[in-house]
Amino acid sequence: MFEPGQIFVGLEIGTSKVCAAVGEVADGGELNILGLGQARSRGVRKGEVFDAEKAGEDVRQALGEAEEMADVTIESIYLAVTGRHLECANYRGVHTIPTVDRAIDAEDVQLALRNAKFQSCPAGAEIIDSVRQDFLVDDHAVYENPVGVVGSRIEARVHVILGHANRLATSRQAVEGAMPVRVEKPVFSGLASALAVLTTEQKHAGAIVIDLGAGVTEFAFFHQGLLRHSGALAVGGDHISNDLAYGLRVSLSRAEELKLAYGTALVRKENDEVLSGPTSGTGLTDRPVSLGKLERIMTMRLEETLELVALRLRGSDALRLATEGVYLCGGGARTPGIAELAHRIFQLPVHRGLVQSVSGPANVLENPEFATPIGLVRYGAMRSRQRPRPRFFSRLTGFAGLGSRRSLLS
Amino acid sequence: MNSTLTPSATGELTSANLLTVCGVGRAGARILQQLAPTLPGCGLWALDSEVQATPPDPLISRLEIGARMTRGMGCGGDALYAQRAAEAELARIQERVRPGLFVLLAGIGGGVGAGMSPVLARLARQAGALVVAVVIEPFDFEGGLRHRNAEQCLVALQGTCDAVIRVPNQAVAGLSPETTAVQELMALADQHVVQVVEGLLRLLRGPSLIPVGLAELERWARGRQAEGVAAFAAAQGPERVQTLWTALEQHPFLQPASRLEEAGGVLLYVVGGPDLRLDELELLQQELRRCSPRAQILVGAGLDSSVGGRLIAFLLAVRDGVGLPPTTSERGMELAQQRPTPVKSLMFEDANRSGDSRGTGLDLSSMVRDTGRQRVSLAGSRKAQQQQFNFVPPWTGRFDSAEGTLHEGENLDEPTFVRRGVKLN
Repeated sequence: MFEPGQIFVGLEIGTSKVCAAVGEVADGGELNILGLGQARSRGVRKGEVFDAEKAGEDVRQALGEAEEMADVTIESIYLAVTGRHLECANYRGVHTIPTVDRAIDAEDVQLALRNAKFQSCPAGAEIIDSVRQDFLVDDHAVYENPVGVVGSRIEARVHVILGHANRLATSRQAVEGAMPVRVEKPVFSGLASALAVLTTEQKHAGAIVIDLGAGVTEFAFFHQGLLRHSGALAVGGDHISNDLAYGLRVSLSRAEELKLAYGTALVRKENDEVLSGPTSGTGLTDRPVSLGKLERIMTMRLEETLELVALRLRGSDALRLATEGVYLCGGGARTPGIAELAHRIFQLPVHRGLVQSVSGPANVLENPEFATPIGLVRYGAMRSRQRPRPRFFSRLTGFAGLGSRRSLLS
Repeated sequence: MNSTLTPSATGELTSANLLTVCGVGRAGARILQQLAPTLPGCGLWALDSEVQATPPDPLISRLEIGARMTRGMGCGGDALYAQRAAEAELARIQERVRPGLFVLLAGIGGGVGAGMSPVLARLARQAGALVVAVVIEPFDFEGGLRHRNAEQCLVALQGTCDAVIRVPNQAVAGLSPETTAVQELMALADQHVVQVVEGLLRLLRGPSLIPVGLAELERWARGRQAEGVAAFAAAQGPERVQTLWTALEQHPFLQPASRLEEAGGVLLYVVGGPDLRLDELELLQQELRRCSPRAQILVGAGLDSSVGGRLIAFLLAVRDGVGLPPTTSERGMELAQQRPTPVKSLMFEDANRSGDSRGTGLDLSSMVRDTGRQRVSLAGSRKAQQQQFNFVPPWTGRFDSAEGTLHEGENLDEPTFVRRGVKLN
């Protein structure tokens, strides 16, 4: 079980900012956020590190801030990863039981799971996470845990999150090269946000979490307590600013300001107001822009992004099973009208995703941008609960890693 | 210096004058010679500026252009010079072009190939022909001048032909082991061009189960101004259709795989023996649909008992250009064509579903997805422009240097409203 006082650190090198969260597991298993740190991100594009040196500096600043606030020395972290190189899909692995009429044991299950993972992983890719879904024994009955069932063929269905090995190493290197910390494990950031935002009940009933980041939009679908489907789409808030800069013919920085000040996910029909530009330091006035145009450009992008997410989720039946609805987090969740737009597209109840069952500064917990690092802290806590720490112990009992994935993400 | 060719009869299209193949320049003539024995009854002629460039062939008529300007010698790799020479004798070329399918063969690294091909293509198009250019691009080692020639020629051809099929020598080299002699590589490239033409001919004339005639081909290609690649594959055995598809999908000319995904039109012609099964064709069609979700797909099947148990496939994948204004002869056809616009506007689907314009205040009539044409009008020019694999990438602003985010052939980094062709004013 939890060791009281154990500390976990989550770090997200996002496209717009680098965030770190330090959390402590209290006696009752509750998470308490001790410290937070953030820095503007300068070395990341579309969720992937492209300038490791700058990213390293930002990481130093964010982790330093978090260390100071929590008053701890950070030794190891969980690192959020995302980007278009990620691939999330469901795979099947088969294992045939050689002897007739033998009950399936834990080893058979592991072999079937391993086969599924093997099949999923092409050269150059690395498995970030894999979540077992269910098992088919002799092609028919579906089991959550087939140990003890008599059968001759076992098929495991596994949801696998794959990443490009080199790009994962780049992110890892950016952190480890900048500070004397160890990256415990990369974690898909969409999964981390979902862990922060959803309660156990919601994960069982079925819920979708969409993280509208600056560079990447991630989604994760939970049902019956398990991660059923996830994915990353390398389109985000930066694309909105980019579209605005092109459509309104203003600079990127002005587009960014306009997005924050007037951005919306719904077009108000009567709006043809024209904003005259502010006078800049040079005494010249910026181009006036039409609010109506701004709204249309932005709506189209947001709508397309959510439609693409819906398209990907449709295959896994998520839109029917997610009875709890859709939870939006990330910076994009602040956009006025985004809930209405999402409701229209998903035809499900839509909520702002708030960090759940964690104690800490209130302003942080209500902030949709911190979901990922806090989710990483929770991921770390869950993982340590799964894995008894003294390794030799598990080796002695021969139960190494047995069934660990089953409850990890529930 | 008179040509031996009598002026061709225009008018009714018969199987004899359906296909005209013209080899431009030395490479064009060389390939034409290889083709000649297999194309009885087709109009075959070579266009060149050199008198002695190719040995005479009884099956091929010749047209020497610019003999006065070049004194019977070549153009020395000068494409502009060749172009001027051709333009100075337009009338003589005009006599030789006729409607039907006009296939232009050229190596576009050289002066004649690069300079005269676009002129010839333009004239053939004006005569009402469906113009398909099959061009060989130079090897990387051949140097700057030949590459510049090739690039400029490609741009010009894309503005004049209905389809340009590229055969990059360098990619051909990728097909064979590194130790292969240059001569063999060039022969391979020639062979590929020969196959393309034979494939087209088989498509038009061979005994067909599911025929693709000139009319279908024309409807498929006309106005696309596309550039693309052709791939061949053959397979036999119990799993022949799977093997065939894998071979096609992994064909070096179709790499990277996004080429199929980005394709605006895919033509697949399968030739099999009497044992060709429906499920095999269905499987190919499904795979194509999966790989090229946006493309207009044309599948044909031919019967040839001489292939034995084999399946032979000819695949043509082209990416859409913007389209030219129709020539006089095809203006009447234009109305009849009305190729269904590939509407993939999410807005449209949703508007239909909810029965209103979704409160977004957008004028739906302005959103007909015809991105290409819209983009031209946004740019304020009706000049024909091409969407290309590598010449003019879409505007993606701050993501210019980043890896594109592709989804069903669209680069999501490009503003949504631009891709949907929405006018803001």
